[in-house]
Amino acid sequence: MSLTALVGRGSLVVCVGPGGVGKTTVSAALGLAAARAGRKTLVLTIDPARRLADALGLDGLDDTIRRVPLERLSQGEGEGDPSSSGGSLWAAMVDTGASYDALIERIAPDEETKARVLANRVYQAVSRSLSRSHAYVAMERLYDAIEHGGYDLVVLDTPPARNALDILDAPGHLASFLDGRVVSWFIPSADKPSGLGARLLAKGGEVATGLLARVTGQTLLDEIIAFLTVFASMREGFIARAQRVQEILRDRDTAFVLVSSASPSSADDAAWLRDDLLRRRVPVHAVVFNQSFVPVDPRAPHQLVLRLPPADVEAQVRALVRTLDPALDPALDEAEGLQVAQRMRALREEAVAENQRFGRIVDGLVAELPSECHRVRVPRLDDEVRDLPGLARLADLLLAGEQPRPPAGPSSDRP
Amino acid sequence: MGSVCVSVGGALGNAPVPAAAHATSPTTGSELLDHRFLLFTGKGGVGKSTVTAALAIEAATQGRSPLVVELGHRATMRSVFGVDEVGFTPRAVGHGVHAMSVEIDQAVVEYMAQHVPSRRLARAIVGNQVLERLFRAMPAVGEIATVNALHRLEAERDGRGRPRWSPILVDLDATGHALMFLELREVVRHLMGAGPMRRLIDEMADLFADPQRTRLNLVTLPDELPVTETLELHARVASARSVGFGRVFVNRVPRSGLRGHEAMVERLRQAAQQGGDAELRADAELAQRVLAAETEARRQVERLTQGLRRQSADGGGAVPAVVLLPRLTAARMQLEDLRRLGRAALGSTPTEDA
Repeated sequence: MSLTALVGRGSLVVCVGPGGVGKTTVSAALGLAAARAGRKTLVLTIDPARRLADALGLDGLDDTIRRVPLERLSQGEGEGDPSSSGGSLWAAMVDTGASYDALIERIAPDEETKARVLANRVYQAVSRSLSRSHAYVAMERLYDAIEHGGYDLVVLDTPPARNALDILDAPGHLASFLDGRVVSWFIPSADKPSGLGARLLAKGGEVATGLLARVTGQTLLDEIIAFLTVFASMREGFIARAQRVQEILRDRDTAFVLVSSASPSSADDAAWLRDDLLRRRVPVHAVVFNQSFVPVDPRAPHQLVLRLPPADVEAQVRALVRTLDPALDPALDEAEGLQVAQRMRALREEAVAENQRFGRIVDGLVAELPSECHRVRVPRLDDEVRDLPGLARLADLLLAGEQPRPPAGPSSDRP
Repeated sequence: MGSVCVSVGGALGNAPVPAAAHATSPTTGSELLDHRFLLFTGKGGVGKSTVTAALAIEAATQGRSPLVVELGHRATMRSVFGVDEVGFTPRAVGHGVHAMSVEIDQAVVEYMAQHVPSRRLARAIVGNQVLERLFRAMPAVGEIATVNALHRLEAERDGRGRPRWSPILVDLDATGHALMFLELREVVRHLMGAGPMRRLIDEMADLFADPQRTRLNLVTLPDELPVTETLELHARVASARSVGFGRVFVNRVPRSGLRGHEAMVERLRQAAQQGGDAELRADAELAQRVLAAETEARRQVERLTQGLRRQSADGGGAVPAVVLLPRLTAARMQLEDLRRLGRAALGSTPTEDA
């Protein structure tokens, strides 16, 4: 699916990729593109960066979903105001601790359960400090947005590289964590054992509890048991939502977009993600190579120029110095001019060589993907995206930089 | 640009190395390598793994026995050193360097095996599906098991009773990961009574907090956002005093080689425009963009240096040395590039600037 089709028709876009490639900004730009196409769009980001809030024209970005003031776009560079086409853009950052608390508030069956969960130290550690928590809560936010938000499209930004696919595993992990059998090991009263197998399991539970106490100390074990006990009452809801999110993630209106730069280390990480996605049979719909070429010709800034015409720098400079600026001191300035012109040429040749190397990296990453996967190359911008017009320009580049997968060989990458 | 960018000394020599920061730096040159643990962190994509590998190669060149530990399954060291596999057991990756990768699942197995009285029982538990699921789902378990693996590596000795690995360079992946490691004691403080797990965490937290044994190195880029995040991380760690700082590496500092010639570049651009020389004009316009990027990078390095100085004064600590590393443009870094980078990172290379 092309990016244009994806923001125009998809219902969920999940952006995965290594860190430092501008994934969050790309996610926001895709959301903006969808809003401009007339859709009610939500961007769920994980990046607490102040800069993104600024780029969206928001005072801040937190757990609360806010409306992005797109009307400011129309005051800018003559861009159309998307709200006139019925589109709107909304954004929130997934704040793990705050989202968990809000979740418990919502799903706890009664006040007492709610208080016990919020005070439980295992819950506090799980919800705030430790790495896998994010995926659980992102999943819950996603569920809520899709089932109750009324959005046409949700764009989900994921944590960098190695944690990116936790979102796919989290529902399964959670479901098994709250699996009745596990809970019953630690809470003998949860399910009364009946039959030989169950009695053996209960026996195994005693052994396991004893061993865990030995390893973790009794305090932690007591808290874990308390945590499981209160969560057991809510587990049906958890498991139902986890299953629903798994379905949504596997739905054919869900698209995965791999975002990478063309640097060798990012591409290595991206290749790992690509293989992991393929292994899980999750289709990759598009690969965005952000900042993946240096615009080397101001006459054609969006083009990859992979070969430079030969230049006789010396003749160029002599001609220019003599004919165009006779006021220059010929002896001194011609020498400096020549030196500078040669260095300038070397810089541009280096940029061209870099584009060629980037091209090979891009080809290598895309080669393993099915032919319907689109690739998009975005040039390295001189300015970081700082405001809505900047984000709009990136959105334009994303939709314009699209190249269908060439049928054979890397040569069609050339302009 | 090739010769300039690969020439480490060249870029360093031309760069505004903050002399004051060096003067108050707690560690200079190869002193840094005397520590038991060198931790590396920074935002994704800043070249942390490359800097880590380069320092490991330099340590080996000095006759030490460095071990690079990467966390999780990123397999970056595999591609940096060009070997087929880096797994849970340290292996030689060439140039006198060993490397390993700590996978959480394996670390949990190891941890259980150490703390359960019989090996047979340990295997039975680890092989038990229900318990295995519990461990996969429990968020703290992976982190604690990783700390346990680092503890075991630290304790390894050679035939003569000296540490088997020296230094141990830990590639901590993203910034959040580093904080989680350094703050693990706080996280579990109210959670755990006395027991082997608590003892392990306390022991490792003490080791990390001891500036004689552990240093945290930050890797960043000369751009606004990475510099801001580096300063935020520095402030947070400096106030928690959970670890001493080593160096702050600014990677990929651009260099145009045209500073001081801005007027001539502009003159040539105008002349080319008037004379209709499109090629020369394109050369000049690209050169102006590179010059602008270089100026911005210098501004960010200055902001970083000033910020570190101010925050260190606030926290009462020494100012970490800021080291500028050049932008390497090779598609795959060659060994000699890594060696140069390692020497530059330790500041033990004479500047070769022309």
